[in-house]
Amino acid sequence: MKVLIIDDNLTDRALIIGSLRREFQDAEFVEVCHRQALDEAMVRGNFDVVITDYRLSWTDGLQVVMTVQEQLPHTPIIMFTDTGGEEVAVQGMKAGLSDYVLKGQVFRLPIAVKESIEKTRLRKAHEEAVAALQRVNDELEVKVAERTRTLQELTEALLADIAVRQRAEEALKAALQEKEILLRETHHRVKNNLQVISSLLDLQAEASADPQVRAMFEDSQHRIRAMALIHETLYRGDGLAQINAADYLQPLSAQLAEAYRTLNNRVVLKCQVEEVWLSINKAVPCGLILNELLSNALKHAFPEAATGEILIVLRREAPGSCTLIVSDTGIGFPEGLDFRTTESLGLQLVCLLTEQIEGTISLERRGGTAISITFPV
Amino acid sequence: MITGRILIVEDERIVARDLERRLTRMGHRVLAIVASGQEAIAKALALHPDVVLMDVRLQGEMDGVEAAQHIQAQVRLPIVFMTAYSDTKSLGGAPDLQPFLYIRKPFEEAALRLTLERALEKSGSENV
Repeated sequence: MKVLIIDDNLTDRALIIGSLRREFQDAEFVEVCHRQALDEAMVRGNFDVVITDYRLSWTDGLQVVMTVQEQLPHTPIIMFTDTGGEEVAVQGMKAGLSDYVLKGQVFRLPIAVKESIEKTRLRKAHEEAVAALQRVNDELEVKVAERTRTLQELTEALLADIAVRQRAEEALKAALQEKEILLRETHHRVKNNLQVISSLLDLQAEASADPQVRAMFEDSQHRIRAMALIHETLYRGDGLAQINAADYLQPLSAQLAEAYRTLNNRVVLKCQVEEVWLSINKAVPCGLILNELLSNALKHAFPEAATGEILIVLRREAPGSCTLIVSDTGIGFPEGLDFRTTESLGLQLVCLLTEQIEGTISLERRGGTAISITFPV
Repeated sequence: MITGRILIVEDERIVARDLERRLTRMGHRVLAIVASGQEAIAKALALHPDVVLMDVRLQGEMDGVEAAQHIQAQVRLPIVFMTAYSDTKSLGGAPDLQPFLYIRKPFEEAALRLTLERALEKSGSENV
């Protein structure tokens, strides 16, 4: 510990040193008794405590307090005097004095030194803590400001991005809507043209008196209607490229049965069609196949007054494949006739279209006729 | 079989001709064939047919549904719509039209016959 003693009186300095030596064995004392020595001490600095008299021949204690405060901040100062009184004590405390000890109470000096050093240490620590806190706070504020700016920039970029996306989405939606309208219009026009073709065939058929020729024209019209129904189903459906087989094959069967309505009371038509989604490439051949098989059954399976049932089944098989079965309880497919080489245009179409959809066909003659076609979807 | 006097409103001439032949074969009398909504209104009011067979899409500004509304605002007679639209949604703009029947295009002869019979029953007329 290093102690600066400012006192003109040698006896008093000895008194101080004696008093402190007992308490602080390793203390080092620097004694000052004129201005120049004080100035030198201020330059050297590095004191743990300063003890000053009030009454000095070259200045007074309050001046000393101010000088030390200015030159050596954070150094505790104790006034040790027997002059000055209460007023000086108050002024000194206001100026930054740590303690005030009367010379008559020298026994208090070591305690005052200890307390002053501790007080100063605590104050310094507190100030440093406050300063550190302030620094951290400042840094934090800078960081928060930076982060806020970054966030703002991001938000602005995001908003701009969203606006761009919204515009793109709207454009896409409009394009999609337009495409859908065009597709619907196309399906409608195709259907209209199929009506014209059907009418042309009908007008042409009128020119012939031969009922067989007229029947052939009628077969063609059924085929045209089977195709038209595809466009109608696509037009009505949610998707414009795929068709639910159930939505198509059932109305197609009903439409055909209506054309042969003379059979209505004798033949019961049943449909068991599962939900299978077909592309238009599969749906058209599939519809035409059903048209031919069902027409055959309606025309040939129940001659004269025969009664019975026609069953149409479409079911999913292993993933990616399904089977269409048209069966009837009629007179049965003629023995010895190979459906693959028959002259009948209808059955030729069935074989051709099965090939087109990469399917396989089989015929069963038990208790009527059942033709099954399995094809990939 | 009920037969009647029929006005055909259809802008496709081939389809109209086919319809005329078929209806005649069935025993109906085709009073006139027109292609636009305006002509349909004029003929319907002048000729008082038993049934108007009306295409939904027509030549000119007016469609079949609008023409039917004009006609039924003045005379009560059954209208049979023909439409390639085939769903009643396209006829949804005319919920007040009565009676209200339609056939899908391309039409099946049996469907045409049945629908017309039903329309004629509603009109209660059998004048040929």
